[in-house]
Amino acid sequence: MRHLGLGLSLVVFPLCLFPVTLASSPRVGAATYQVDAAHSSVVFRVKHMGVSNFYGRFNDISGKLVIDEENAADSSVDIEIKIDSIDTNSADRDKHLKSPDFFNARQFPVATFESEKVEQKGDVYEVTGTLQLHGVEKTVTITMTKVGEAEGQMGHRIGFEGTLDFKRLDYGINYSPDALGNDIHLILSIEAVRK
Amino acid sequence: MLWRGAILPALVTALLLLPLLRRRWFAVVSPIALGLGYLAGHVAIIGWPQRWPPVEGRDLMPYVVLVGALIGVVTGLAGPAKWPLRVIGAAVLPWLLLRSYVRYTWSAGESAMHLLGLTVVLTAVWTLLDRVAASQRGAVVPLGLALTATATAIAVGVSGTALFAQLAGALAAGLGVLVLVAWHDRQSSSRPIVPLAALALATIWITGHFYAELDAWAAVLLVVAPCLLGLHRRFDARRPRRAVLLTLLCLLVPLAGAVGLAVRQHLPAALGR
Repeated sequence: MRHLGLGLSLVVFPLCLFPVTLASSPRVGAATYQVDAAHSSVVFRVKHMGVSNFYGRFNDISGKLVIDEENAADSSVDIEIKIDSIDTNSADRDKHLKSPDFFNARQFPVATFESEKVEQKGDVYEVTGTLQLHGVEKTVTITMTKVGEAEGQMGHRIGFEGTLDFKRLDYGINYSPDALGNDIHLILSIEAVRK
Repeated sequence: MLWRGAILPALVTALLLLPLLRRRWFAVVSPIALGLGYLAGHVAIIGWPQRWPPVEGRDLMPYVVLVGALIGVVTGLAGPAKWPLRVIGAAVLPWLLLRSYVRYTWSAGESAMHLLGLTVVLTAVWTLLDRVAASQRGAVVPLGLALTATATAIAVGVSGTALFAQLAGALAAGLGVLVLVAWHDRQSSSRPIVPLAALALATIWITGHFYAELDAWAAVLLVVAPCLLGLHRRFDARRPRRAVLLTLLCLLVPLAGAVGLAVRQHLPAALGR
């Protein structure tokens, strides 16, 4: 009888833990990745004086991807970009872009994207979520294409590239409309390492 | 840029003021004229603020100017209201401008120190300017304020924010019209425009230092400069033109210092490219 009780407890106790274990980690098939800033790029394009396209970048990006290739609805993307890391190859222009005239980096130090819905079609993911920029939040959809996935010395890595088009006036960045266009083309190239 | 930032605000201010020259309501209408002239320039430069409630200094400026004009009208009609309105205005403005610092950057002690300090300084500057404007009619006060706004425009412009330089320029243009009006009518009082000028300049100084790159000592000199208009009473009243000239020279010293500091800090980097 004692052995039966011990045997039952050995079976029942792990079963009691099972729901707790499920709740505290992603379900089987979902993997969590940390964005590798050194191998990720955030590049923006804006028209200058109506005659040329100008490109700049943000160098400091961080975030987390949860990828479930069996059920994309369980996937998520959380990205944070530090506005202070803007880089246009000119210290004075970077200073002006960080000033209250444009991004106002001291008041709005980060831009963020938090996904609410992910839909998958093959290697393409339609990621819908909230983009917060310059203190304004809007729902946007970024089309992310899986570039590759590999296991190596630097861990298990995955890469995506996506683009987003938006209007800077929608985010309250409206200074100098004669010199800079309203349409911004954003390219996100993310490499992330599995945790 | 000159049309939007200077000519338009000056024109609007002049069109509203000139018909009322030497009339009974001139002193009460002058802050409204200055406020509407500034707003015309603001809208031409950057448009009306898109967000409500306003969160940035640039979005707050039109409302600050409107409130300043209203306070000028109210205190011109009902003198005893000026102290409560002055203290409330001086306390609320720094808090509105620096909420992000209070929320994300400063500790509770640092927040209290900064907000209290700025409230005290703004109240003191406002009070000093009000006393000078009460005792001195004519062009001295609007000229002193116009020179301060012009120096502010240059200092913040080289300190990273061309937008606030333009907004300060729009304010200076309206004040320039008031200088011409006061030169013509030497009995006109500048007292009603003091609240608007104090609040608008404070918004630009605080934004310039905390959100752009305006040097702290340059900001201090800009704050001190208009307070020196009170030195006018120390000069010989029997020689009024000499007294005005000496007062303005005293004002120009800290203004030149502020511009010099800002230029020294920021311009060499641009010249070196």
